[in-house]
Amino acid sequence: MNIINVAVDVLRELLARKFILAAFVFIAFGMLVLTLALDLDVVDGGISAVKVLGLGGELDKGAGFSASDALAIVLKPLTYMFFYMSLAAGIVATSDIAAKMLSPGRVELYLSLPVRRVELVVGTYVGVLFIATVATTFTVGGVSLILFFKLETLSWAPIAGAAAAVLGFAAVYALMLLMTCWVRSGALAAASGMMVFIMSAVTSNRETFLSLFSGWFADVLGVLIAPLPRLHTLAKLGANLQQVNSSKVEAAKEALTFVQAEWMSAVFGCVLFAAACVAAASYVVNSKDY
Amino acid sequence: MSSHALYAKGLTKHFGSVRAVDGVDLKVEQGSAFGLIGQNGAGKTTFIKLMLSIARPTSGELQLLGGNPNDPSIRRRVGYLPERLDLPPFFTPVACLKSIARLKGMSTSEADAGIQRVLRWVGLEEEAWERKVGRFSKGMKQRTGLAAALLGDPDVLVLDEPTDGIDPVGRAQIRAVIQEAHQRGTTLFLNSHLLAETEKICTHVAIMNRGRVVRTGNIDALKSQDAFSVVFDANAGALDGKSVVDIAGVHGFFVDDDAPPVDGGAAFGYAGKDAAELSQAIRAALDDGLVLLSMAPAMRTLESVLEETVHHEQAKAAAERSVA
Repeated sequence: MNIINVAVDVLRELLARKFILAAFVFIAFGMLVLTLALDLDVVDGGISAVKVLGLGGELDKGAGFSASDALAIVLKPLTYMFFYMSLAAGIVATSDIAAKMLSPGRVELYLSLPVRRVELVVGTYVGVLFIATVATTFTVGGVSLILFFKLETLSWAPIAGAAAAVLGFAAVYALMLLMTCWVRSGALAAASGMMVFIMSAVTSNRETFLSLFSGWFADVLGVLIAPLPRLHTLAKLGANLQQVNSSKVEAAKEALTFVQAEWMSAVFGCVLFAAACVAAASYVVNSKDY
Repeated sequence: MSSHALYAKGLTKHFGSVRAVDGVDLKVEQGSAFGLIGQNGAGKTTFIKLMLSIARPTSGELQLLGGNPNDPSIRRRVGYLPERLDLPPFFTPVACLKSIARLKGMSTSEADAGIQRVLRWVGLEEEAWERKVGRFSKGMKQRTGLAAALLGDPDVLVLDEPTDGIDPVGRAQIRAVIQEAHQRGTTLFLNSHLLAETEKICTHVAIMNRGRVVRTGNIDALKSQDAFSVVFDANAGALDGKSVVDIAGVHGFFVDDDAPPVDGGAAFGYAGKDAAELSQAIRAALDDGLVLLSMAPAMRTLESVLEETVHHEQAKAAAERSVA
């Protein structure tokens, strides 16, 4: 029960920040722009968007091009953009939350209350994750609803893409939380989050990356990067899911094949990484004197 | 042991090679007002943190309200005001207290009634209840912190420097709140550098030095033991040309500059607690022509007791080092 109570404190702290409120206003403004922009002819708009994003080649390949096809092609790069932007914004916005919860004068007060240390850690994690989920749902749900009313087509793909983004953030924030519990520094937490963020290019292409090296060094490197979350794979998973609704059978099949082949390792890897980091953070807090 | 709010036996806490708390034995009766005093770095705050399971002991036994402070149900019965209070700056006092009430497991109706009561009790004006804590003065923050500690009518109130940095009027108001809580049956455990505050609030103290409790007991007993205050007539005649100071000095009396002035009297102190020895010294002084105006156990200040104790411990440690 105290996990929820601690999470509520974290939520209140986060929502009191101007940065978070500004982000929500920015997202709402973006959705307003989207709503107004879609007053144009949808297919023309979709085709224009495809051309703007340099994806005209795919458009020319097949006949029977529909609004769903245009949408799928537009949503794919947008998903990548949303995934990485929201991850970076999340890292910046939440980096000092745990440091504040564990700051001298605050942590003593928490620990003197009937709160178990593990509840303090897990509650902080749950609170941050909740706000990340709300922000993502607010954005993606809003966009999906706009598209539904404008195009009369509802797809679960953006929601799944959003879930991938939340999962990615869950893994990144777990490491940030562990760093904070260890050294009580928001800056170091942000640095560790950014490190995982940047390393995702390597971890998601580990075979290609490791092929650049040989011998024991490659083996050691492989072991070192093995536990890190494969964020780019998650982003790819979200992006490919946007194509599932496409009327182009090949594209849809390709997207589904990717999902079946990759989701296990990417999703469960992230879940395991997050769980291990939160467990380690709990252990660190539990064995520390404040 | 159940009548003890706090029971510590051989309590030790090491930080690397530093012995912050070194084999402390201490018993605090339920319902008492107990003060912990000592120099900076004596281990007082560490001891308080051990009491509340904020820090974990290296060894020894510790019971709070008859149980393990690690047990959340024990900590539910404790109110704590930390030395460096850091309340969430975006929260209002009401929001702060609601959060604490939730974490203490209080129901919404209990919390609402309790929050209003303690905020009024600590004297936080109603228009400040919905203002953000980040904009509060030090005094208002301390009052909010004290309200948080008092929420839920704790059995033990642990206050670490509750009036530090507060103006004298605010200090008196906070002191009055603390004393009222004590009168209602709450056990007080106070750590304060302001010894005058400790003297006014507490009935018992423990003096800590280098992690050890070196002296403990009733404040009045500590202040009065080991010395007497004696006043002789400064204008007494037939002293054979000698001064009152000279004659008194011969018999072991020393000039007490800190004693309150007495009309026509000269105040002296007498070290030692042996009453027979004192009466013999007085009789000898009277035989030499002095006139006794008054005599009482010397009531020193707590500050002088602390100073004397610390000096004594330092001298003892130096002697031990030289022997080693």
